[in-house]
Amino acid sequence: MPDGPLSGRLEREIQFVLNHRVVALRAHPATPLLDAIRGTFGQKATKEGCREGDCGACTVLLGQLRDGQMAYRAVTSCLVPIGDVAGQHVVTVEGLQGTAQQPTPVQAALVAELGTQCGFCTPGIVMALTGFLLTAPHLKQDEATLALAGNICRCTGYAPILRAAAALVAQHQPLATATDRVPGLVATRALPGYFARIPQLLAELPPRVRLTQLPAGARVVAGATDLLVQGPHRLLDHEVALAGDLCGDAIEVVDGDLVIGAGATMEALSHHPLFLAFVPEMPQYARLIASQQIRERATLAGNIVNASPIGDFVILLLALGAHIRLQGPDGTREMPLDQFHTGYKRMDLRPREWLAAIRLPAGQRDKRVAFEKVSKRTHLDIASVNSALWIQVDGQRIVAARLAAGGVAPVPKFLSQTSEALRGKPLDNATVRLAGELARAEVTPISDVRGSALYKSRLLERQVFAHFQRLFAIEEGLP
Amino acid sequence: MKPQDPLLHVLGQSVYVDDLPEPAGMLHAAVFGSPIAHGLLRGLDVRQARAIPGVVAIVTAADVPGRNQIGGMVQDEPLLADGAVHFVGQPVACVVATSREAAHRGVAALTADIDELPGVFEPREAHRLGQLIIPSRTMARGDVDAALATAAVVVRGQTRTGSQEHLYLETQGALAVPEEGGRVRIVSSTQAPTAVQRAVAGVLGVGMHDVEVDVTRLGGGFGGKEDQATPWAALAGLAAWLLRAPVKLVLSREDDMRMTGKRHPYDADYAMGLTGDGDIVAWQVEFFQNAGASADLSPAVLERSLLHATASYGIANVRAIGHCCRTNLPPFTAFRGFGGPQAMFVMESALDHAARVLGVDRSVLQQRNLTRTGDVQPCGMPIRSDNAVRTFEQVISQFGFAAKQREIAAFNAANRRFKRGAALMPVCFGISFTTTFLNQASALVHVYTDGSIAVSTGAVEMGQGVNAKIQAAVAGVFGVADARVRLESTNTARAANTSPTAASSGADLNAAAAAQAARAIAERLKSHAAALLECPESAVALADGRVTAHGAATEWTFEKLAQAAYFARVSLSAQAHYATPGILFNRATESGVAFAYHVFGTALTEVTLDALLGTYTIDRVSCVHDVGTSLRRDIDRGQVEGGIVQGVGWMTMEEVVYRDGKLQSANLGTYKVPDILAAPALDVAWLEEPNAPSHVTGKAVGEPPLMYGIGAYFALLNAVRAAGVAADGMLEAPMTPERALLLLCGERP
Ligand SMILES: Cc1cc2nc3c(=O)[nH]c(=O)nc-3n(C[C@H](O)[C@H](O)[C@H](O)COP(=O)(O)OP(=O)(O)OC[C@H]3O[C@@H](n4cnc5c(N)ncnc54)[C@H](O)[C@@H]3O)c2cc1C
Ligand code: FES
Ligand code: FES
Repeated sequence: MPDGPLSGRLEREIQFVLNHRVVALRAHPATPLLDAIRGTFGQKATKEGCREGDCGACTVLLGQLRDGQMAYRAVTSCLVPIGDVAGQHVVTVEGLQGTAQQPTPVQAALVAELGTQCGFCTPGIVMALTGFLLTAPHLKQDEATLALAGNICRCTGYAPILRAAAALVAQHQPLATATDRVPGLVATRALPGYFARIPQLLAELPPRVRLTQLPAGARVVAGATDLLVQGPHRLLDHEVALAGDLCGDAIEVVDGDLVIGAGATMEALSHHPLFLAFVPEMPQYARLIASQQIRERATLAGNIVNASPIGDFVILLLALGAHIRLQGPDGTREMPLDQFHTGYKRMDLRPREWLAAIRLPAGQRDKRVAFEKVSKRTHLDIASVNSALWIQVDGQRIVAARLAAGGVAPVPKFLSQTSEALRGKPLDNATVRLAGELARAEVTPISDVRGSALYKSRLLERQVFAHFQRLFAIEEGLP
Repeated sequence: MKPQDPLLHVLGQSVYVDDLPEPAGMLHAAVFGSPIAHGLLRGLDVRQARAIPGVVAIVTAADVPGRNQIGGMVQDEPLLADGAVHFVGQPVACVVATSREAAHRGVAALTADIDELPGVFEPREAHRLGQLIIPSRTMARGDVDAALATAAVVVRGQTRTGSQEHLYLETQGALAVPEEGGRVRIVSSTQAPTAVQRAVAGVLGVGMHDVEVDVTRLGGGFGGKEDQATPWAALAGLAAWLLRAPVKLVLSREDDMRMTGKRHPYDADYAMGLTGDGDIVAWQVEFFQNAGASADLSPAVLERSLLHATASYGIANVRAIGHCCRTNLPPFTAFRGFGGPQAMFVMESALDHAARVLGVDRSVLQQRNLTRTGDVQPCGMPIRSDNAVRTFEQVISQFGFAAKQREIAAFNAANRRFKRGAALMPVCFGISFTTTFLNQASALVHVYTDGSIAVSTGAVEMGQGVNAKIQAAVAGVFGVADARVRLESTNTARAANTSPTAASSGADLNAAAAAQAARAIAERLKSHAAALLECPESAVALADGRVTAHGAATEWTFEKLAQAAYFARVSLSAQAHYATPGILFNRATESGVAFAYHVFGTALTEVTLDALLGTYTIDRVSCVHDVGTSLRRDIDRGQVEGGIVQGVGWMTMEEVVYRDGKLQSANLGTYKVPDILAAPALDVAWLEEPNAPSHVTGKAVGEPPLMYGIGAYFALLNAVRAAGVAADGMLEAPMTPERALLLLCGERP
């Protein structure tokens, strides 16, 4: 367990349900759940492979009582601050209660197909597949694959894991349409019987505190998928405020505009019908962003305030013409997102202010939006360059356009000059070429591990071409 | 029924070093690595680190009681830097504290005073400067110069292959516990317990018998824990010894990536001479191996490159030259394939070059030149099989290569943005350690009076299934169910002077030794049974957990027999030693029979490229693999599938990036290995070989499949060319989306 010099004063009492029983500990709220599981509670089945959300070996299920029903999701426990776990149900491999005589169907399928070699990734795979059975909308093979996209296995080449998943999909089809899968999964022994009692256990735990102000000097911790990757020690010496206590996560229409609570997760937004009215292809794009485990935790606010020049949602939101609402001791103010980032990791955020909501003006709805992201690995990777184009056309003429790109400037970049130049232009190859040229001229990429400056510049141009091909079938830059 | 490893894994009950119950008073260690690639170490400021609550000690070179030296092949690797630093991440000090967090805070608070010296990072530059770890080596046959001079076609060029991070999911680690009488017991995540034992004994200045090393299992190794597990075990052992307390040292992922060596990057020059018909008549290749800052296993890796210089082809006139170049990067080390993949990439690149010049498909040249019985390898070892040709032909027929090529051509004609490509990749890989003396193993088998059986060998289980294979071999000898046989942890007190579990030979060697020991006991048991049953010994057999006489089951169960034999004072234990017969490689003459045998196979890789964005998918890899008469084809399939995906990763997305000696791709966020969505569909077929030479466990299968991955590079190259790009410059791997796009844009990076 971390024992930073200052952490004593900053510790809190935290209660949650670990597998079948209520547990309590005193800890700094930013302590990674993984450390509590392996350290404080001594349950070693959950493995540590990276501490950065990228391997999935630490995957556990996190269950929350929502409107009287349990909602589970698979998360990487190395990046979950223990403070966020208060009042929730954490399930590890131990909690599945499989035995050598009677392994769970997931465990049995992995053994039968030899989907485990060295075994170090295996607990994470078991949990991801169990999470799939519990939560996948249709229990289809491609959903299983996506559920496993956050789990690295260096030994098997994945083929036997996919075979195991296929067997599970076939076995569990009868459950696909059940509204509550818990009873069915208890019947197949994929879950132990105590799952039925969990809502009751959770209901007896103390409710979450609500914060109305950000305490002076406190850092906001949202999904922590960025903060804990930077290293817990950076947080453990500080007071923190959990975004879950501070901001809402509602996604709703207010006065015609779409207002997204800053605490909304990537996953929630990606499938929300109100957001799909702005970006119909969002579920496909979401596959390119992090992994399901991370999307279930990462918030939009974090994506904006971490000020990474290569965030994916921030680029989409820039193209969509989003506004952000900041709240602080002096009340609320609003600004266009494209004015927020002022330099590398600098932004217009005042002391004790936090990001409360994101607003998408009604007028932006039902236009065309394209998103492109290229990274070394297509999935679960940070982009070399990403970009989004929002565009409104009238027949063959561009009425308005907004192009934003990441990885090509010190900030997530709204390409104002290119966007402006597109206004009124005809939809033809010359315009597309011009857009590519202007975009390249407007950015200042640097060479780093994600690619050379030359590459990024070329890639941006090609992405601009790709946007027009996707939206208007204009072929440019092809052999 | 004893739960076997896979079952323990899925239940979460398998114990790795970091999962061991922590002994009372256990301390945690973390390592301070040099922040500078090359320099003189003037001093270390420990004041701030000492002040951190929980920090107990800061161990440096000055604290080493024995020799501050852990080099295996060459004694050129200090455990802790002394006077100079030679790569970023080189261990300088070890901070020991009451918690892992405190140990890491201690490391962060250390500062080293280093006078920076210029660093050398490129092997060609090191070669120019004469920075060689061993004298350059040449393996030659025939008359290359004459053959090149008279060849109808000669192609010359250069290639480059990048490094590769092992990314075993379990990072390096060890737990050291001081014991009575000055002993130390170390649980290490190592492929080479004996190497750890020897190094720790040397560092502590004690006998090897004072150090016990125990290994239950590894969360992956792939060669990365052959030599490179040693420093961490030695540091834990040293700290435990000095502080008289148990010490655990488990590297964080980032420390692991920064501090440990990976696959060797290679630069190469080649010249290939061919007849007008495409027969290769001359092959000259010069390897510039980036060995990193110390020898580690580099000379042996280079040796394997030389031995595989001709890859899967029969070539009469060959000259292969290898330079083992010392640079200021972490010592590069063993990685599945061990120099073979690098050599094969050069050969395939040259074939690609020749095919362009001759205007034929590369597969035509491949097929014409495949090695066959009667060919002689550069070292003088004859090839004793036609399996290269057989697997190649089987791939072509079984997976419809010709039809696929037509299909791809039609697809490419019809599509502007997406282009498909395919490539064949034959593999011929020699099995054995090229260092002859390593080809030995010992095993200790006990039969207990209840008929249960325990086996100790030098083999380390790391997911490759070696335990299951040994288990099956021993169970076969005793005619009992596999579950009656337990594989003990690999322990230097039970198996001494072991070879690392490497070179794909862990099962070959250790199962042979274990079977031999088992047979010794089985003979005694059978002779006792013969006496009991009053029948000739030759009529007695052990099968289905019973004694049979003249083929009929008797009332004697194996268990009953074991007990009876014990009461009759028959030894139920045996130790056996196995040495691979018939191999002898002479480094002085660079000749001999380097391998026990070769493993062959061929893969067909299909890819789709987005010619606009430079992104791609590796769609399918289909192979025919030569595994002989395997005891466990299910395990072999896993090795083939895993090897292919790892090889594809090396050739595509896995890019190790150093800048001025500092690793830029130092975490999983920046170093990408194939995930489930990137992994190709896999078709694994076996070469059925009627008269396969018998091996106890089938042919070695660990390394060869990795090299099928090379096909992905050339399939992508074909797809790039289908987009109308010549791609006739130097070939450099990996083919990242960046390289692909720059090729498509006609840019030279
Ligand atoms: C494995 C992995 C893969 C990833 N892949 C992607 C990817 O594909 N694309 C991508 O864009 N990102 C990716 N990320 C980065 C990260 O997930 C996102 O940036 C995410 O949106 C951060 O959100 P969070 O809620 O976790 O933020 P946190 O880590 O909690 O916080 C990030 C920053 O925002 C601040 N902050 C958070 N909420 C507020 C608020 N309401 N008010 C004020 N400040 C606030 C915090 O103080 C902190 O400075 C990945 C991360 C990981 C670990
Ligand atoms: S440890 Fe790798 S994702 Fe958590
Ligand atoms: S089995 Fe070793 S990492 Fe998956």
